[in-house]
Amino acid sequence: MAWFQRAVQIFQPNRLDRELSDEMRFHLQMREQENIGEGMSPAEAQEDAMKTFGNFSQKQEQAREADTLPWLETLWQDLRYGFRTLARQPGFTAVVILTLAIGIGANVAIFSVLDAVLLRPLPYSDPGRIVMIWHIPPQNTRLGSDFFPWGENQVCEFSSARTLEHLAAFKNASFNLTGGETIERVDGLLANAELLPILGVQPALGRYFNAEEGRPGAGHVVVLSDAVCGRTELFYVRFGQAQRRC
Amino acid sequence: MSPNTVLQGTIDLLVLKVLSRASLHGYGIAGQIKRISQEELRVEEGSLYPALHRMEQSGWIASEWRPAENGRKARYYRMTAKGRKKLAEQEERWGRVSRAIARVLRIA
Repeated sequence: MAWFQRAVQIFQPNRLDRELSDEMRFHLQMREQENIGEGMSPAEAQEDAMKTFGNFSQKQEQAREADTLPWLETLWQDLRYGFRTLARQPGFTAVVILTLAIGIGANVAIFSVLDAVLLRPLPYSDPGRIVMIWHIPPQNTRLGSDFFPWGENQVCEFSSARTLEHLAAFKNASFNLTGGETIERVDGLLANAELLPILGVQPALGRYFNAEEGRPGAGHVVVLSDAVCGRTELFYVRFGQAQRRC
Repeated sequence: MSPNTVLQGTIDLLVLKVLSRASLHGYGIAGQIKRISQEELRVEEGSLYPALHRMEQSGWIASEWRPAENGRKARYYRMTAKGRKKLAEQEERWGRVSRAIARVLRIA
């Protein structure tokens, strides 16, 4: 608590100074009275009192330092001085604040992206062992311009490669959803049976399709996503699930 | 030793000793030290105040404002339990040091 008191004293400088000088002046006056009682003239009495007391303002300063935290007091004074200076130059202050705000904002934005893209692991089991095979055609140097340009036979070859434990393929696709009151176009993926097991995730309801159903010519099996919030959600709107809050 | 200097560090001991008998204001403490030491130990009176405030912050003494004998308000100091312990400690240390010095002076 003593530390707290000493810190608080800094914010009541006038009270502290008044108390200190009252206390020390009381001393001087007592000494003067005693001196006069011993037969000195008032002027002599005052001079002697001051001499035996020592340097008044120095002692006051030292006592003050004991009552406060000098470093905190200096810090507080510097802060106030800084704010006063800034207040006198509003244009400069505005530029500084703007610069800081933009700088901090840009840093936060960049870090958020970096954190999501690079630092935080992907939300899959064992993400360090998942690789994505890209194909860059010679005439087009844009990465991912063509996701998986290989045919079925080549996929089988990839599957037998020992470097990879499993191989999943997927492809962006759009579908027309009919049979309801309206016809809707929905975005989706064509994927093979390996995809979700490799990522280590399972549908929340029901099951993912198996290798048998993934074979060419087998029946269509669909997994509905509820992950895209803020868009028309097939799962809820068309298939009657209770709406989940985003 | 000039009568105006007190060995560094002994001011705490003297103040605590004086306050162990009665609570006093700074002027009273200075007077007591002067009287009891028969003017041998005289503190530069102003130096008492930084010391008093430091000791108060350390919790050895506590203070309150109340009217003095002449009716003016003065800051009175009294010793705390913590101060009493400190006094015992310092008295013991002072005794040891002064006995040691006396021995050295006798022998050397």
